[in-house]
Amino acid sequence: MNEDSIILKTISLKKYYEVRSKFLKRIKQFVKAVDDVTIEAGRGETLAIVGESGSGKTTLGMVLGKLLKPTDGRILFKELDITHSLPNHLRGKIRIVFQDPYSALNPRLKIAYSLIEPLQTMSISKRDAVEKASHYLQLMGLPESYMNYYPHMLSGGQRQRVVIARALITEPEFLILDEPTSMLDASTQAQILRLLRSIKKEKQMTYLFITHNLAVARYMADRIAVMYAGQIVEIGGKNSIFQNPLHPYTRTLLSAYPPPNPRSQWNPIIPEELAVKYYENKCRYIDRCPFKIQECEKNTPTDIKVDENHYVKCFLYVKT
Amino acid sequence: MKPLEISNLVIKYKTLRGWITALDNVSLSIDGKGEILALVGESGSGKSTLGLAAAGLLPSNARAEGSIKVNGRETLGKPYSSKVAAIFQDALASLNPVLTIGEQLAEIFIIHEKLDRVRAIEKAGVFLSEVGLSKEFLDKYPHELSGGQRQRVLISMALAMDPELIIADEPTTALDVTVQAKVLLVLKNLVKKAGIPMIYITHDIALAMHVADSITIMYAGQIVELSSKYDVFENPLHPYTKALLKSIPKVDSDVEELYVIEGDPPSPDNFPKGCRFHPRCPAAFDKCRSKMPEVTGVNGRLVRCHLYE
Repeated sequence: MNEDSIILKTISLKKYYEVRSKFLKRIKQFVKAVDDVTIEAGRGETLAIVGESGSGKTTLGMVLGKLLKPTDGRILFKELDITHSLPNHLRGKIRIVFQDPYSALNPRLKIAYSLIEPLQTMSISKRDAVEKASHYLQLMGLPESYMNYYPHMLSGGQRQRVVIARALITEPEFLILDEPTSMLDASTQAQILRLLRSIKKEKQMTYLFITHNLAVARYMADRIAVMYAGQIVEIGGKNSIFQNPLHPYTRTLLSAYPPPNPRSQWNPIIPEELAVKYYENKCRYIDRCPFKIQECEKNTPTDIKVDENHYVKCFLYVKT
Repeated sequence: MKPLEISNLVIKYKTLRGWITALDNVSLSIDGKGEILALVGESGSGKSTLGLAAAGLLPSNARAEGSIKVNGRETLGKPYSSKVAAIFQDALASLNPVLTIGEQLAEIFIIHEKLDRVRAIEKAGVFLSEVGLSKEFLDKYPHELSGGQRQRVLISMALAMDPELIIADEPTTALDVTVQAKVLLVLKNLVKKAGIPMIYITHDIALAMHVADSITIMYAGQIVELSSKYDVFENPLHPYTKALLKSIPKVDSDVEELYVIEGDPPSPDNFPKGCRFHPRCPAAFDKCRSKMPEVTGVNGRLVRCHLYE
């Protein structure tokens, strides 16, 4: 990827949570929610992060959205280190949209106030702010009259569109979307996904699209990163991930989704239901993996390049 | 005698804003043993209300008219006249947190089959092994189990009472996808093996295509289409079904652009006049705005649309 076009980059990013035992408050162990994640996202690109609950995908989004402090590692925004603080001129350039549109809006504020709130720390006159709010509301396909509505007067899909409009109002270059449609019905989901795609194209934004739904990732993403136990186990272009999934976990995940055609075979790979372990000296997927080899017991797999932009953390693909 | 026959079912809820109609004149049936009928629809379409009614679990503010017959016996308003088992989304809320899995499962055999405690526990172990859980789980408490294991316990409990009908309402929505696949396959295989008819309620049409035999599409409290899953997928009749199939992203192929159904589903206290889908329907014509279409048969399939009358 061209260095100039990289909007966001992480270097060995880590976020550990301490799990303390109650006795003597000793630190017992860590949950390595994000462990040694190095990714980059270019201008106009959608990078999807997929994984099951507990894989660390939401934590990664929160760290990148500056809502959590990383334990270690660096975050670069257009080559500027923003790991510890975000300079003033970059305020509003990174925004985040969460899953639940019902808790994201203050029920006592009119939509207009919710929309202009992020602009209040910037030197923008109130009149301009209101004008902007109405512009972004209409961009999300909602009538201007909704400015005077309260959140309870809107449906879930309409609320989520307000939340996205509020994120867009500061003209971000990097937008983190954490399961933005997983609480919505099929028809509403289609509306929002389509809008998000066309806005990205128009404004050349970069999306980090966090989802557990691979079908949604396939529709939205340019590249896909698969997370397991805090690590990115496979990353690659959308087509190479879907047509040539390599990591045993990626394959399991892909097989778990039924194809919509009832005549197509659905033969999911069923893994053991085991708790995630954050092994340091062996592969973290080893307990569930049906293809494990001796090497997996001894070492931690590192990224192996299998194709242009396609990397996998798995000993099965080590070329000797 | 059909395992399940629902005719002209109307269910209304009393709310602060007056009576709202959750289900409007719903008729459907399950004709064979071990047949799985999926109810697919968006939130508010009435699919869960239908499940609750069939399980005899309607809340006290509901008023029901019509008839629900299980093996020929009327069960509407008489919840104990038939054996209907229900599996819900939230397994933790369905299990008693202070009893072990074994005690909860054995209780069913003690009550329904009058077994003594030792024999009941023994039988509980057999039922657990059917869903792929070892005997060790008998002594565990619900909080010690993972979500998928709990849901499998619920499946074994549902089968334990040898029910005439099983209602599974979004049984895997709270689970991760790999676990979801496992639980659904266990459920489907056991239901087929035991020959128990099942209503499978889901919002995910792709899952319905692989779990069920026939599919009912619901919209705004009504059935809009009912036929075999192959017909629904290959030749959907109702404009809503067509739109729904085009609006979901697919995991096995690239979709150029998703189809968008404009607008939102109607609110149950303010249904539009005529066909309830007409404000969002690309094929709507004059009649749709004034007259509600009836469910009509088209080559053995059922559809509620003026286009097919």
